[in-house]
Amino acid sequence: MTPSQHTKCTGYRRFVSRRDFLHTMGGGLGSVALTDLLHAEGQSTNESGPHHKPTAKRVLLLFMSAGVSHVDTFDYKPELAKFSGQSITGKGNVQDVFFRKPGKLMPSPFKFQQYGESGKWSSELFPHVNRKMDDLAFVHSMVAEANSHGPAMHDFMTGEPRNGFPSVGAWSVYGLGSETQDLPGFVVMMDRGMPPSSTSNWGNGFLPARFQGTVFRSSGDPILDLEPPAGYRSESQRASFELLAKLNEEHLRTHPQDGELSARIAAYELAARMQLSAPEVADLAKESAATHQLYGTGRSDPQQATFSRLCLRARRLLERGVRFVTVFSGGSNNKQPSNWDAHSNIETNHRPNAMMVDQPIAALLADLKSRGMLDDTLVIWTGEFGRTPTSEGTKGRDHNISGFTLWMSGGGVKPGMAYGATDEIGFQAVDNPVQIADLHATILHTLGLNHERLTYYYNGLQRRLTGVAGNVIREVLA
Amino acid sequence: MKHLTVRSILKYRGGPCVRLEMRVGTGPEAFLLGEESLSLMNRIFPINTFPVAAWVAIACLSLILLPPVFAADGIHETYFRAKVEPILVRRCLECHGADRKGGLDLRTKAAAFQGGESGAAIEATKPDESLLFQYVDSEEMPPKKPLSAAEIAVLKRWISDGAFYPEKPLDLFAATSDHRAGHDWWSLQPVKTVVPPAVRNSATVRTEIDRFVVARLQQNGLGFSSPADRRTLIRRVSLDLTGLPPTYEQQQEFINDPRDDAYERLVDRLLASPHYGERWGRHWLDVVRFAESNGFERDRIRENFWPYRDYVIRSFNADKPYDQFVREQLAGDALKAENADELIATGFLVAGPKNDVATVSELERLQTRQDELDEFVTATSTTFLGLTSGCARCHDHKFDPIDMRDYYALTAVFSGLDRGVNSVASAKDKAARVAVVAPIQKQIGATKADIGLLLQQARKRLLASSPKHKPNSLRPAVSATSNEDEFEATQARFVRFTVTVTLGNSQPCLDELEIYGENAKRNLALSKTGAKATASSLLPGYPIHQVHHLNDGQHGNSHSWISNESGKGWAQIELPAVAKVQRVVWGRDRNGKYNDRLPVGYRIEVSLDGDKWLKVTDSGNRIAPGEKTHMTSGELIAALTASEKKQHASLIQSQSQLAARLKAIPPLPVSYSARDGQPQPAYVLTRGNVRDRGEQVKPAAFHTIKALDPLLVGVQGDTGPNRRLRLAEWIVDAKNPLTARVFVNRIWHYHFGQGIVNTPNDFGFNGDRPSHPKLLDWLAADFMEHGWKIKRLHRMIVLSAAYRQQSAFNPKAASQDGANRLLWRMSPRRLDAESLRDAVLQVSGKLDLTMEGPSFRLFRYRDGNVPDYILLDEPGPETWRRSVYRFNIRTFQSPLMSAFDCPNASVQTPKRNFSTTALQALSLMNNRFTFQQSQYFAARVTAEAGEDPSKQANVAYRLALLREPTKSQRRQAVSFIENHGLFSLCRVLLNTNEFLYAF
Repeated sequence: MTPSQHTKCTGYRRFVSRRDFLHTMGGGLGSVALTDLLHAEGQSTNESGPHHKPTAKRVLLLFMSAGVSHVDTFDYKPELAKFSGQSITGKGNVQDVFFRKPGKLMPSPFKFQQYGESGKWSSELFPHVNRKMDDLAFVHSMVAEANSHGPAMHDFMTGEPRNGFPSVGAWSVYGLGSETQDLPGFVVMMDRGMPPSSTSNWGNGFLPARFQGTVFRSSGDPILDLEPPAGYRSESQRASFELLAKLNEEHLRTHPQDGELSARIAAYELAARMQLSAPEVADLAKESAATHQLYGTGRSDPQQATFSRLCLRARRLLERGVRFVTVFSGGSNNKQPSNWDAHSNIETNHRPNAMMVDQPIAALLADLKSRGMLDDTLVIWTGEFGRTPTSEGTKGRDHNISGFTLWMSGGGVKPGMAYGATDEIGFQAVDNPVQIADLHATILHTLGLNHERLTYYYNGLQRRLTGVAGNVIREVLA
Repeated sequence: MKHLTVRSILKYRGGPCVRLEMRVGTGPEAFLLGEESLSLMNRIFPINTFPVAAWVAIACLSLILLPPVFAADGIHETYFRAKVEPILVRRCLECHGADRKGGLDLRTKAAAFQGGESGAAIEATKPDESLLFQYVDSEEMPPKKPLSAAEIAVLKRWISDGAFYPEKPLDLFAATSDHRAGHDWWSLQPVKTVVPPAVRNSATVRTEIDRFVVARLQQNGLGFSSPADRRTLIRRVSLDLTGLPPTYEQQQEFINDPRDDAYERLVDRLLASPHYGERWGRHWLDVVRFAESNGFERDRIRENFWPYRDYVIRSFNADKPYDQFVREQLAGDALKAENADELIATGFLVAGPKNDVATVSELERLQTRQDELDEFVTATSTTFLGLTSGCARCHDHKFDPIDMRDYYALTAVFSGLDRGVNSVASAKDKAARVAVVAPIQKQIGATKADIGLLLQQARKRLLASSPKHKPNSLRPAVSATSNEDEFEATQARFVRFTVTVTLGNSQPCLDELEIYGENAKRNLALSKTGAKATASSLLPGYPIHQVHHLNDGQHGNSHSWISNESGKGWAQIELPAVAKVQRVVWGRDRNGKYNDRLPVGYRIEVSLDGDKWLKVTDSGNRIAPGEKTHMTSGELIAALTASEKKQHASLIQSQSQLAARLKAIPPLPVSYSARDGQPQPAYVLTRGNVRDRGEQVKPAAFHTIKALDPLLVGVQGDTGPNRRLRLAEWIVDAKNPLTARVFVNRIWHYHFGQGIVNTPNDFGFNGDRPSHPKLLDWLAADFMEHGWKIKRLHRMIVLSAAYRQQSAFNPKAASQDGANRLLWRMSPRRLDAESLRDAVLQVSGKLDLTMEGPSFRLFRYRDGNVPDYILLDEPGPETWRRSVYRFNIRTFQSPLMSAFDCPNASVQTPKRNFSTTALQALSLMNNRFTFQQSQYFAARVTAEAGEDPSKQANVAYRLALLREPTKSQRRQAVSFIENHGLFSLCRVLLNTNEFLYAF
């Protein structure tokens, strides 16, 4: 790995006022409050809309926490069988990037075959997704910079291996606002508790708090504090909002025209609306039996059923105008194996994990497509890095940042193609390596945002999601 | 020879600006003189008072005064300085200076003429043969934005004339350009002595600060708003100075105070309150990225970092001079004072995140350390100097005059810096503790000895009566995993391990044979250091059993050696050179899977020549497997007589009593703080690459500040702490133009919600320009002159009329200055997350004002490789302290706090966001905390007002909003209480704008 802090320093442009940027509403704030809220933030609506014509209106990030193995899923490496048990030395361009000492080369325990018209090789782990092969665009040459989960997650989500920076979802909502008036613009869901690095994955960093991701919980109230604690009468809740509005209106008369104060009045109105809209979007009862069947919400394994429900909810959120939805498969690293971190056994880790996500992800693709939403929804499936073609212990695989695979679909993506490649053993990206910043630039690009122009001043620099790096991967775009 | 004509042109350019130009030459390449002389004249004569005729006179005079300019070289130099240098500096040096892109360096004549990878850049007098000209003429360079035709013409003429270069290398930082700040940047100039301006109609002016503010307002046809009433003012200043709203009683007292200096008294009381330090300490903790966990992958908890927070609070409360505050935090460990605080203070240095994931990659380790150094440098330069320096890690700073040498010279200051939990007790504290502890320890010792004597008896009895018990002078039986054999240090080249007996008479197995000399950690036997393994024989046919596995550094059965002889065999290590050896460590399978083939009888011999052998130890003094030397206390006690047993029990009891007494004595204080080892040499790292070392640099501060010598090499022992102390002295030197400016601006910023410079961490090119530059200098100079006293500064600010204005909106003023930079009113401000939480607790009557000590936790901590932080559902009374005492974790945010813009402390927060969101509304309405506290609030109201809803409404309004409800509000409240309960009213009041904002 060539150290390239250069991609980490940011900003080359003069300080400009925040007025220069469009801020429509993040945090789920609607047009009623628009004028006042903008006023409160010292922003103007003069410049509106994206930088160029978008191909996607919204983004769905399906994140396989802790590193899904590319050589066992979508990056087929028959050579591994040939080199089985041999040292990695002399094969591929192997450098000092190991988290631990590498073991011997290990072939995939999974069967591969070709799918779709594109004839793409894929393993047996994703039978449902494999049937959508011609809708997917693969990037096989992803390169990450940090070798341990926390920094790698931060890097993937925010472009910085340290925590505390705004996530790509926050940047997206900052750039475009939300199309929904009564839901947050950036929603996060997780199937097995907090992923590594917890809330930093959807933080707003130095952006205002309204751009942070809102967690939709898999049980109970979909949003923390959406409802008062059980036992409090809804009639009193409604009356409280009304009384508060009255008191604030009265008070506003002593501070006429103060935009900040009227913005907060509007924020409470929106909160009240959210109390209705959030449970509505979380409630899957009105979905047809066929839809439930498609997603597998009735699967007997509770973890499988959970992920199915999250995917169905994701569609409902996107449908209602939420700008950015992230769904995590896999929780913290403390309760092994609770995510994709297959250090000890790739087969016993990846098989159940894939089983959990395969059907609902394929269902989501089909469902979006049948509703005409796939065309303007960018779907990304990935982990923060891949796994080594060598073994760890006897059957596991270690982290690999030198090359891994993700796929995209929908929103302006060229379907049925593959971009970039790793070496013969799947260790290192050798053909068109793609940095995280390139991916970020591409996501923003599909949303109509120029990653070089989407900036925010913090601590000495006009910051960008992409630092000073980032090239839109035009080859995967239609 | 070029024709030279001089014309003086007098020209008006839109308004009062007059520009004097002298044109040298004709045509497009004619150049202008006179900007500099003009600015000098500007300083002498304010332009708008200076008659035009005088300009003409001066223009003519300049012609007479400037003859040397027109001497031959002088002409070239003048032309160069006026026309060529700006092009080279602004358009070329960014890449073809220190960066030497393409090998080309245009800073000196020699280097420029020599050229770069493509060859000589300049052929004097032959522009068409000069690569430099060809590149710019073909618009290949500069990339992206080529030079203008006029600029190209200038370069052509310059080369035609011989390509004059001055003696001194060109300096990229010489002057501020459109793209970057130079050494002439405003914030780098000395703090000026400023006289507060005179103002017309000075009735609204209370203090000298006001003169500056009013003067700017008047320039814009504006003025102050009317003064705020006392009810508003006390809430504003209390929240501002202490972070807590006043109580109703305090407010009434102030409103009814007839004295003229009632407000001054109030301010003095607030500044003297210990809550002042809590409030302003919290601001400082934002700036210094204080959090009590490591961040990064694991984000492990820092149990012992709270003392730094308390130190900050104490320092503010004690009104510690800021220069001292800086010295302590940067180099408290170098100050020889007997004061724990000075050690604790260095927590500043290490307050940032720490990457503690160990990896085998050396590159990553180097990288991680360099990142850490970068963190130290960044925190120091932005906190104290308001300069961002990170750019200069890979290339000269793109915006400010900081080059890579500056940056790496500063890393040299921190090059030995590490962190740890240090004892911070003073010698006095230590002695005091010893005085209490030592007698108890002595008693414990005596008791233990008595117990020992008793058990000794029992041991003797057992040895005499039980065959499996062996005296503990024998060594333990051999273990399959790992065994140590120590012997007298002996010079040896060869070490041989000869097996004489094995379990089951099988062929013996060894997985590793390690040999140690004086260095207890350095295994001399490793093959990678040149040692060679041989053996008597090898069990054939198994790749996992090899002779070279004996010293390959890898453990376990699959990296072992097995002899081909039943029950015997030897293994031998030949060291690369003679060495003193004193310990052999060996095992059969350190992974613990196998315990067959274990050598149980063996001897270890050493030799200098491989011929003559000396036995150093053997298995003779080991007990056999199954035997034991250890006797459990149960076994021993059972062997005591009845009276001995009684005696033993009583001894044990007094021992545990003593231990309890010892435990009750508080431990000496420790604190997470700096630890400085040997400074390491520091190098400029080319493009920031840790593997690409350039020149070595001495510890130094930035040469950015011309008034000071940056070199920090000292005379009295160049230790890390001393380097930092000298850096601190450089920072707080009165000639440093940044330190005082940056700090007074921070203070101003917290008082008004925006700074005079609205980017408190950035006084560089990318930062904001001061709204009141003279006021900033006046404040900075006054601050230094009066001993860097912070409370005095607060007092001056909050006593100003600017601060005491009301906050009402004024459309006319807003249309001119919507952001209120000119301070035509006091902007209303939402309480920050901490103040909001504290205010709720104060109103509910539950605020626990205990100061200092370990932080309270809103989470449960579950340790592990990657620990978990689990949000508490129902935080208890131990969490009802002021929010500054909240345990702040980098990867775990409290939802209520973060909804209200409480920052993630992974990075510095020079300025909080104050956003307005629906989620804030949901949180503050429905959060368990609000619910819980609203219930206490209601209980408090009932205790004071009884059951009458009308009285309840009065008390609730007084407690939360510091006023009585209006008649209609009371009516409304009564009916609301009747229908929805007092609790509901209380919760609503805590959500009102009147409560959430300071006006």
